[in-house]
Amino acid sequence: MTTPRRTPARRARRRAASLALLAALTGCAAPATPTPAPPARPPGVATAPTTDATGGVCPVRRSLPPDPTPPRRILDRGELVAGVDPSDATMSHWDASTQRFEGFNIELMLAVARALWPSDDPRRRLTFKAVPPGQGAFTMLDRGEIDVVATSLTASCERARRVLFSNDYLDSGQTVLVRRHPDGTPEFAGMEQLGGRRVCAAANTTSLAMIAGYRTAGGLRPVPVHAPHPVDCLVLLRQGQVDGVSTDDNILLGFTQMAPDTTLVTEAPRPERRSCVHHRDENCTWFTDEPHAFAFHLTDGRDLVAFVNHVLAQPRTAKVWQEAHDRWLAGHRDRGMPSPGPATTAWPPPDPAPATPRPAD
Amino acid sequence: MASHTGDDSGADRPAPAAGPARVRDAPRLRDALRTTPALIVLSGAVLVAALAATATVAVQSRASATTLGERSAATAVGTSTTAREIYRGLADADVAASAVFLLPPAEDRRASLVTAYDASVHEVERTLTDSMGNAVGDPDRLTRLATIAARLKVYRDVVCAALRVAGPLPAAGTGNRRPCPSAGSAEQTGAGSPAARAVLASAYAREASHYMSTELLTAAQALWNYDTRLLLDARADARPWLAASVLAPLATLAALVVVQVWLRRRTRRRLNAGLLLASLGTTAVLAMLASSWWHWPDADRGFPELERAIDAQSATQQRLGALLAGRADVYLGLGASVDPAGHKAAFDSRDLCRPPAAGPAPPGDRIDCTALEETVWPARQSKAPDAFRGAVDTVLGGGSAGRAFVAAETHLLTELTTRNEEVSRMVAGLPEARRHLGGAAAWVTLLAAAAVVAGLRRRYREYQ
Repeated sequence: MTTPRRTPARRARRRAASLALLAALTGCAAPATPTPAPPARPPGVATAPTTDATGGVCPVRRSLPPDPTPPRRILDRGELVAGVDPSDATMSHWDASTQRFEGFNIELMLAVARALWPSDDPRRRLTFKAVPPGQGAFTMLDRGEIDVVATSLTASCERARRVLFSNDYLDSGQTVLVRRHPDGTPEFAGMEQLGGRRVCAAANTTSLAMIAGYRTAGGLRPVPVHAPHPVDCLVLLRQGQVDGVSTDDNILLGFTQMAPDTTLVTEAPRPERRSCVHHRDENCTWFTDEPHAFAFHLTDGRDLVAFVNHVLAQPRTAKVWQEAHDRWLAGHRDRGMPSPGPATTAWPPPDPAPATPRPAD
Repeated sequence: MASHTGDDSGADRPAPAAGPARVRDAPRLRDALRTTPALIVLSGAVLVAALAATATVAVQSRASATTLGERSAATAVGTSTTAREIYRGLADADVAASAVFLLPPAEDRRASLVTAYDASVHEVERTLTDSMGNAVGDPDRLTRLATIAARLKVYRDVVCAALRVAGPLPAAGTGNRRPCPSAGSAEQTGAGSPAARAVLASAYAREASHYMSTELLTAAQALWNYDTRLLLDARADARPWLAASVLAPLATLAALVVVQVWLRRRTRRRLNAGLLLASLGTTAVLAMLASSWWHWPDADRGFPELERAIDAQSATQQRLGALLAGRADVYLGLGASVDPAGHKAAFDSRDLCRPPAAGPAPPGDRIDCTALEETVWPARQSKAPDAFRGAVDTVLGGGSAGRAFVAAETHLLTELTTRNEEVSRMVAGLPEARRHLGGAAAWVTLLAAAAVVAGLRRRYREYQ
């Protein structure tokens, strides 16, 4: 095929077209007025309604009594299937270089597998499946696709009606990630500055419910925006489509590693909003109490819960916990591995979070 | 023959005994209009109006008659070819962009995947530039092209953000081309572990692919629909003009005959020369317009078949788009995406897999999904050593799934070429639009109107 000769008219047409394309690409007015390009957004992003429920999370810090007997059905099957959130740099994520899942939750799940099959490589016995964050994973638990939810899941009274929880294995609290100024300071100092601003949290999470009910001292409400995954909120934050991302501190810590142009807020919430009982020091920006626990099937998971509680209570697991914390959650200011609350055989527990002595600082 | 038209103006009629003046004037006016001079004037006005309408139809129907035929079809087919190129180029770019995030930044193959993405995007931009140059006379089309260009910029920015997050590429690896501009001062990248950055990069890639399917590909499809719509609209628009081109001169001719007969009876004279001349002129106009539309019945008969061929062409193109989007689903699901189950569900919904019992001649536009089901989708759950790397090799160019995608794409491209040739053949078979004689017909009509005025004026004067 021969190339057509470029006539002056053709050259002029090309020049006009190049200018039009240039104008369109640089955002200037095009010769015709095209529909403005909508911004890119992750699928499933929407604004959530605000609510008047400001009570925060009702934490659950009790579980079934520990039992060293491994669940027969798991042993017979020969594998334990754990649902993990692959968007979590600190707790669980996929590493293409090592070709395996890594993170704090992964280390604890490996400890459970090691206890189930002491003579085997725990990774040969564990299967990790990606699940949605929050209670989105409960459906997979109900369908028997996974044995345990090992996402960064808050043990709440509401969720305890749908699933069984293990003992609390990590204390954390909800805080906010914002964009960072070039001098290192946060664009917004704290949650109180985010009234009227768009704040993103993952759908079906306690974090979203908290943002939807938050009211600043001046009576302003943040505008809650939800996305399917917390990492989608990080994308929206970097694109300037939201002003803050709010979820548990342990997750946001991973986000600051992914995106150094973001930082955690530094200003403490007002006193009646602070929730720092389980925080290590005074520089606490948490405004909820978030005990993290593994979740199991409400009726079929009792033996596995009891076994996991037994594993969590072992000194060897405490060592694993500390090593995993040092590796993945070095900047997380919790008070160490939580002590289990008094065991309960009734579920949901009638007294979900009795006062328990905390480990010394 | 006794007068019954009220020539004697009705002056002997008794006036109404009472009532307002307006009521009294109405019968007088009616009687005045029934006089022969008034009827001559009235019929002259009607005939001139009919001739003016005929002249208008003759001139205005020109565009519909000439754009309907081969010219319109050729234009539509030519422009829709460009729309198809844009659509396919965008889908190719999406596949290439999704593949980039399968591999860790240190992998050598990543640079070649970035180069492939960059080449795909530039190919689309080049096609857009050429199309905009050819669309300077079509503001609607230019707007649609500018809309695609603006959205492509948004898409490219998201992919660039993902590439920056994932990590730098050696300049030599991309042929010393920089596929993306440097990060802005506010955007800092390069910290954190490669695995953590891959999670964020994959979130950007997922967003980019979503934008591609919901915004860009729909805009490209709308452009194609617009182009083919032109052809179908030309057919629909022409029908009323064809009817008007036949009916207006016929109605005018009928009116001329009626007036001629009435005038001859009314005045017991011979035929009115002006009206006779106008009748001959109108007959000539009817012949001219009939000649101008002579090709239309044949073209109209050929259009339904052409429309079916264009629909088949569109279906093949959408099938190709689904195949490319499905390949992007596989790449995203296998990479560090946070929603592998969502990508698999999207892939399954595209209906790309061959049925298990496809027989000795399976459909060529589908792929054998065995490798995908056994090794690719469960790769991140697999306990076999190097299962993930094996899955990546399976889906990229040389792997079995990669080859299956390429084979299905080749099949669909061949089918698309066949459909294009079919459409081109049908367009070539359409009768060529004849020379439209609307302008000459309008002049003849004006002359006929002058003849009507002259002929009726003479009669009118005789009455006065």
